[in-house]
Amino acid sequence: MENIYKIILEDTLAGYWDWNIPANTEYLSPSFKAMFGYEDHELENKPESWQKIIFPQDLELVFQKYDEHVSSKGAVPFKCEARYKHKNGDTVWVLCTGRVVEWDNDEPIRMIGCHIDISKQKAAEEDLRETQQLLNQTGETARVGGWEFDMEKQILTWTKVTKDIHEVGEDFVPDLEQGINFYKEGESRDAIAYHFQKSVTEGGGYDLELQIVTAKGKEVWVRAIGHTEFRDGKCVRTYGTFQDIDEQKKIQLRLELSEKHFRDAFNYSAIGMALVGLDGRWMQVNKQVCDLLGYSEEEMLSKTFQDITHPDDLELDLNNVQALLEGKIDSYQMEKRYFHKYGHLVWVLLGVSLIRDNAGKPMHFISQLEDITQRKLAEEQLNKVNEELTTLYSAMKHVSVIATDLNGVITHFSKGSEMLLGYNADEMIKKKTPSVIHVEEEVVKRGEELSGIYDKQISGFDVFVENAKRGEQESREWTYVRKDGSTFPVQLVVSSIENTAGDIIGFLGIATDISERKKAEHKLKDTLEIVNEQNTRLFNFAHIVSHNLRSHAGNLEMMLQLMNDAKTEEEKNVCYNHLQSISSHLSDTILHLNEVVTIQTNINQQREDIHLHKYVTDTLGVLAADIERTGAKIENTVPNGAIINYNKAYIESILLNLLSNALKYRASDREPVVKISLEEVGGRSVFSVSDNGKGIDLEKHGKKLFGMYKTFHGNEDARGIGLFITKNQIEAMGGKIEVDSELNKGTTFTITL
Amino acid sequence: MRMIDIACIIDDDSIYVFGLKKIIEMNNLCKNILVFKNGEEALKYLAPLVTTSEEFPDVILLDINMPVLDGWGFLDEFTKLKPKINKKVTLYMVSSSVNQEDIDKANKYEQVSDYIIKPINIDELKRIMA
Repeated sequence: MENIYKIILEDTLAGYWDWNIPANTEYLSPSFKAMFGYEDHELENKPESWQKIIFPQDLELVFQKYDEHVSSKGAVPFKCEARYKHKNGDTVWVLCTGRVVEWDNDEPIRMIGCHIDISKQKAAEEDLRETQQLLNQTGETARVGGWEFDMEKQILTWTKVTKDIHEVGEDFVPDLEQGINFYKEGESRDAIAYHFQKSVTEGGGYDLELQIVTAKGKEVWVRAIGHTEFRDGKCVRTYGTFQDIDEQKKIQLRLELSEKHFRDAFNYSAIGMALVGLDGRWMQVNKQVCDLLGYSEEEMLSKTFQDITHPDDLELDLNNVQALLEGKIDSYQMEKRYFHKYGHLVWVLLGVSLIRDNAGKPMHFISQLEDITQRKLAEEQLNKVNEELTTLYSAMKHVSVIATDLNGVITHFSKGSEMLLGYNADEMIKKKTPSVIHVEEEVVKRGEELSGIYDKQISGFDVFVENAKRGEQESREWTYVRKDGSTFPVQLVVSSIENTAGDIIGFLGIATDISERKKAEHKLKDTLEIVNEQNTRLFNFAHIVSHNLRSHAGNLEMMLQLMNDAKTEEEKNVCYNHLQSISSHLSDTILHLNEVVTIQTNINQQREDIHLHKYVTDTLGVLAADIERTGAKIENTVPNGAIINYNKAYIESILLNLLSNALKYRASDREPVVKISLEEVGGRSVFSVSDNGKGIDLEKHGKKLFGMYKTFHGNEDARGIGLFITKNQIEAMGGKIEVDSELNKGTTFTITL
Repeated sequence: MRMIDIACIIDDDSIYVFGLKKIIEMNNLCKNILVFKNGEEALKYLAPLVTTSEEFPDVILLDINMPVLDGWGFLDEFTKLKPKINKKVTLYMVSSSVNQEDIDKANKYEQVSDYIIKPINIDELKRIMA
């Protein structure tokens, strides 16, 4: 009996199973396996085989049903519906029934059952449920009324809903003409009249969306459907439905309008617009996009945006797309490069937003493309210029560039400023005004000057910018003060910063360190002085030489002529004596001149440490006889330890000259007093020799005092060479000699060593 | 040729003075020669002679470089005396200096007739002593 069942079961489309519970083996019939798309050998005969392909939540149900069956000792039948996964991925609904057929006391030993495929049933159930749901929904929301017109009796009947739509009372009895006249005059009324007439004469029906005007004067969109019924070729009845579609219609119209707007916007937009698929394919592009990228619309639609995007911009673009799709952002904007059809790059400002359907599922992107190539090129140009300027600007290490606002607050402090002034930009910008780097007295002084020029009080920051405010660039020298308090000279140029409207919005001060220039200027000035002095000396010397040699030459010439004309031997002898004298004077003169030349040309005079007190004493020793003879009183106050760095021969010559002069030009009526001293004045050693002698009229002779062969007192032994040599020696050592004298009072020579 | 009466030499160069005197004497250019070795000595002598014009020199040969009172100093004093002298007096600067400054300075004095550079030769001497 069992085998027969088995055969039957195995041949049918139902599956059969037989479970040996203690051994946990289970026979699964070929049809059982075929139901899920498996060959007999593909699934082993054991419970795990079906447990693997059953839906997990349904497996629990199966166990639950089995437990109920077993615990009730078979009183509760085992029966359940469960879903299995077909080999091809479909879902298979199965009705599973079974029964424990052998027991060991209370323990189940064997259970058998069968599977019936109920997928089709289930699908039908689902459809039915959906249809019902739809019907219910329709019933609830749609206002659909009915109408009927009896052609023979000419009676028009409206259902309640139809009357509601017309906003007439329930007791309202319409006639055909009234019914037609409810339609809005014009298009709607003409259309209903035409189609109604046509259908009653020719048969068929109509389905129209028209407007009526209700009894209360409201315009309502309705869908009017009409059918006709003919008997013996003659229309006997028309009937149909009447539906209020005002809401839908309005929504539809609005939608159409907004679609039209969008279409217009899309097509006639001044910028490129495109619909782009989720895969990046161009779905729709307007003319501007085509113009921008050089492709025809057709060519565009065969490409993706990835195809024509510059590789460097692609990653960012794709990241943005990803973020859009994941809902992290609503839209994005980026500047990117596309390849034009002809290969060149087109810079575009791209704006993208994602359009989703009602369920929130992404549909496509709307992209806006604005050509910014020109701007980008300009920008690049600007950047280039900017970079160049920045480079230039930071290269100017010895130039300070400081910008301020109208109140003088520093808004910019260049690298050069930092280097020159020792301040950081951070401690200056928005915190300080240029007054911290200026010398206050200079600013005050300049302020007074400007106040005078413009006849108004100008002080503080205005001192720097008054001229710039008046549209004049100003360049002048100032002293800058570093952070550490040290100073240096600058050439500062101040000008105003104007905006495009021409209003002054700040000031710019560019200062150049002119320390080196100043040094050079000083040096040049010093050099010039030295050269001038040397020139004068050379000039004087040239005249001295010419004058003194000419005197002798003239005398020589004259004397030779006289000798020639001499008649007596005695006359000749006199001339001869004079010639000897001229020769001797000439030798002296040449010797003196040579001495001067030697002093002048020995530029690197040999210096050594001179014990001045001792040299004075030694010189006084040389003059001891004169001192004794004249009874002169000598006051030597040169400190005993005083050391000067000087040329030995020169100091000897200078001392001898000055001291012997002091004795030589003593006043005859009083005891000579000679004072010798050494002092420090202004960091330099000043040596002086002072006497109470005859004195010199400086007004008459001051200029000639140190000249060669200048004598003043008519003394027989005055040669006019001593002071000349002395002055040359002192100047050759880099010092100077000055004289102060009053007739008959005395003379003081002061030597700055 | 009319011989001038008195010539005056103011110069501290004794050899030059000797030579000049000798030439004047040998050529009989004047009757009397006065010699002073600086401006001050000359002034001391000449100032009192202003009133007795006959004794005042007709020609003065003035050196520049001299001690005590030099040529310029003498010129300044002489300028003061000149208006009082009732006689034509010709003054020459005679110097070894070829310095243009000296020459220009001399020419600024209207009392200076000429600037003569030493040595002075006989022909020139004859011209100025005429």
